[in-house]
Amino acid sequence: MSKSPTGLRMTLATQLVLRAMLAEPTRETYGLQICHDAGLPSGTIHPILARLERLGWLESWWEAVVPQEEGRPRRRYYRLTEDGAECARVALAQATTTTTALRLRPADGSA
Amino acid sequence: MSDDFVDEPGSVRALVLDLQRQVYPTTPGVRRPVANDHARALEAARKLAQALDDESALCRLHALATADDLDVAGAHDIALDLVRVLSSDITQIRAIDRARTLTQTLAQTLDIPYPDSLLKGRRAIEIDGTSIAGRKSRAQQSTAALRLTETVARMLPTENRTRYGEEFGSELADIALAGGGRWAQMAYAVRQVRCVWQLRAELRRRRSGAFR
Repeated sequence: MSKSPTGLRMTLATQLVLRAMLAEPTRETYGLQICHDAGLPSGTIHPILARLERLGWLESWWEAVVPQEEGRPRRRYYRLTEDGAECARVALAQATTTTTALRLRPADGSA
Repeated sequence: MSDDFVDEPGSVRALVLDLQRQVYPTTPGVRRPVANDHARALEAARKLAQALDDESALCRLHALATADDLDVAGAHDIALDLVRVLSSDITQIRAIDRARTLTQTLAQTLDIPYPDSLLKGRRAIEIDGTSIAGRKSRAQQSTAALRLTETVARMLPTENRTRYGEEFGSELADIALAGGGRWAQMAYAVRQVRCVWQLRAELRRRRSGAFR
């Protein structure tokens, strides 16, 4: 597990969520859709989303619909902020580099 | 409209024309144009209703033909039939939208001011549609899963409870609408239980301004 310069723990699940959201950075999406795109089980991403929101990488808002007309409750939508998308790209690149470096390190530990 | 339908005793058209003659006495043999509109509308209703049940359709048409306000009853019944027929294939909301459009078209055809004479019918359609849709969503949603997520939300910081309670409920409804059964919804709720401490910690960090 690596840490981004902002202090974000780049767990595998966090990386998957960021990759899924970076696929279409301007798209407004909701929890279950993010889970689906990231290939994670439903209901496991709220801590990650809360962390990203706390860092200002994500913004969220309630869907502007009338539940009676839609036949379902309103959804909470999420989108990467402009800064968030940039930070996410850097953090992901760094996490990938770290992972690659670890993988390429010789067995005796000499780099 | 077919000719055999015109001559058939007790047919929809005959019932309408009888009613029309009682309400608007005119010279025998001269039919008012509005009677044809009524007959046409009711024939359409008959065809729609036939898809459901021939016997009940005939009973309903007889009731319609003798209704006090034929225009309202006819418009409402056609639209409601459409809701019932379509609701088995597509979502209830789309069906209601179609029904509303049809009701408005019918009002224009019959030259009836829509807001005054058909508002009751439209409201009835909305009420029927909403109650049917409501029954469906309630039937699909797991109460146990919903209660569990509500408990999870209560474990979060006070200022975040409402938001996450609603968000979990919304996701449960999405799972139900996507065809997820009680077990799928329960699995979602259990995952929320497993993640609640992480989420709680994150929300507390946000409140204390950590990493800001």
